[in-house]
Amino acid sequence: MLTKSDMRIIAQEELAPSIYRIVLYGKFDYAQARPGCFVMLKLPDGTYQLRRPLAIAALAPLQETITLIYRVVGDGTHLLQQTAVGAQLNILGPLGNGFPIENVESTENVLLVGGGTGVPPLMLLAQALKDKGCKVTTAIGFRTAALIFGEKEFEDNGQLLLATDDGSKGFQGNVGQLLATQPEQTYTKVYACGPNGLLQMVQTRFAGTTAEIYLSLESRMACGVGACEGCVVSTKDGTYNKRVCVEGPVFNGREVRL
Amino acid sequence: MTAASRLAVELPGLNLKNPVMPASGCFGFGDNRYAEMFDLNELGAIIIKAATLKPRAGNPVPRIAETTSGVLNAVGLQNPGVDVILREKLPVLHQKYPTLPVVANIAGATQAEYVEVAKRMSASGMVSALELNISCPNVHEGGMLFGTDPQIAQQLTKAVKEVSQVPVYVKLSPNVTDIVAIAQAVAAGGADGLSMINTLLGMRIDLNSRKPILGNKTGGLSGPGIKPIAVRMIYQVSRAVDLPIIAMGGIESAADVLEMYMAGASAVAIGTAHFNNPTACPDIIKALPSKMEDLKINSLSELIAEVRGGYPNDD
Repeated sequence: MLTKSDMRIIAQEELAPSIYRIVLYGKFDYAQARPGCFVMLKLPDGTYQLRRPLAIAALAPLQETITLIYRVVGDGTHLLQQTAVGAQLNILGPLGNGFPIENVESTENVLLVGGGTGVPPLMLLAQALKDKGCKVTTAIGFRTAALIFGEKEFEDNGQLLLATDDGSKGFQGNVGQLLATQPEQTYTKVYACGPNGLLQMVQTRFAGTTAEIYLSLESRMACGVGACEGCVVSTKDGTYNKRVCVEGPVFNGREVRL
Repeated sequence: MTAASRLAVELPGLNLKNPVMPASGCFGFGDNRYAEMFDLNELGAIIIKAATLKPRAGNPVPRIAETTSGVLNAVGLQNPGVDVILREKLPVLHQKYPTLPVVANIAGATQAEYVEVAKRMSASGMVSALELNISCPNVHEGGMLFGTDPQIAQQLTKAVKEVSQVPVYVKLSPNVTDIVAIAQAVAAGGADGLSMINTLLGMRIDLNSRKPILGNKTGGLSGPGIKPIAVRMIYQVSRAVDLPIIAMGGIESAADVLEMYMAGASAVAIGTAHFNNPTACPDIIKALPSKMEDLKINSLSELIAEVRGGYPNDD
């Protein structure tokens, strides 16, 4: 059930320069939340009129916590970073459709592709797919070694392929170039989250394969609940735009037009 | 007086148990997840998203940009067109909430389009009133052009009134030098009421790309930052034109609602406040009686009479 509730910050730490992990404790519909879902976080200052859409990076229903990972990009996220442990934040969620994983079989070979702030939702996804018994390969890219996060989480749940633009760790280049160096494999499903360039690369690279492709989109949003038509995207099969917040953020990669 | 009758107000076509309604464009056709968070029957009414004759895809993204105490939007009247709305959207809303008054916002690129949409919408039996949108800043033809020239605004109002089977509220643009002149013109055209204000034309620029953030470059500014402008304009217009006003522009609390009444409003619409607080409307409705008690306001209808009846002696 969609709720807005005050959740308490029980941890906040820097994972990499300007990348923060925040753990929130409290009432939330943990059963409805799934990998790829997001929340709308209200900033603790009424002059900000918009909540911030943030993907769920980890869920602990028994401890009643959700984990979000965000990058400080402006005044709003700077304020969030300055907010102390113990403070309450109002959380609206869970929102969005999430990655479709109900029909994934334990025998499947799946690929996760991400970059930058597209990485957090893949952390929850990797764990869920591993729990199903899948063979999980994750390819993620960062600008430089200092910005890397999530390494351990992905290694715990399968094979990790790492790329940095400057070659300071892992493969030198972007994730697309990294994937091009890998031996041909038959993935049954490819899940990706990140900037549009990365998602387009995934669309192109796997277009000729039999893999199902699922892309999680980022968008500027106002309502998060399908009311304002602010975050729309087009699909190949229709002229009428889809809403990233309700019909997405995860779309069939063979249909969505980026 | 019961708590219920304290909030009741009567406007042309709108017999409301309370004066609070979601503003057009902030609540779709009721077909969104706000309905999971509260019972829409609690609302005084609902103003649905603008309908045009043909489907509109709207503007390129980004369509949303935040500003200090406000939001810029440039959605561009995306909607599936009046026929789809009448066939698929309104019947669902009407079936789920048969007693909830619906105000239909209508827009067009030409007078003929407005007239056609008004004809079809008002004949549906599913709407209590029309809100004539002559003030959308985010479309390149029609929209605000109709709301910035008094003569054109009057003509359009008259043409729509001739075909409409329900009362017509004209939604005014604040992007004019003299809003009173426009209000007088649409009153002369036969408007049954006014709704004001639509958003103010604005822009934000991304420092990294050095280009406007919005895909449409410009957008409409809403939120608490524009509330003093709305209050001022409602104050001016209510003194010059004898029509009920649905007030909007940055309302986020019961106190804001009462401030609008004291400026000259008869009902209110809530827009941007939904984004931070999805239950803004029911929260405001709940908070109104005690705020009114604090301010020794017996009922909203008495407050309207007091404020607007007091105008002849106003300095």
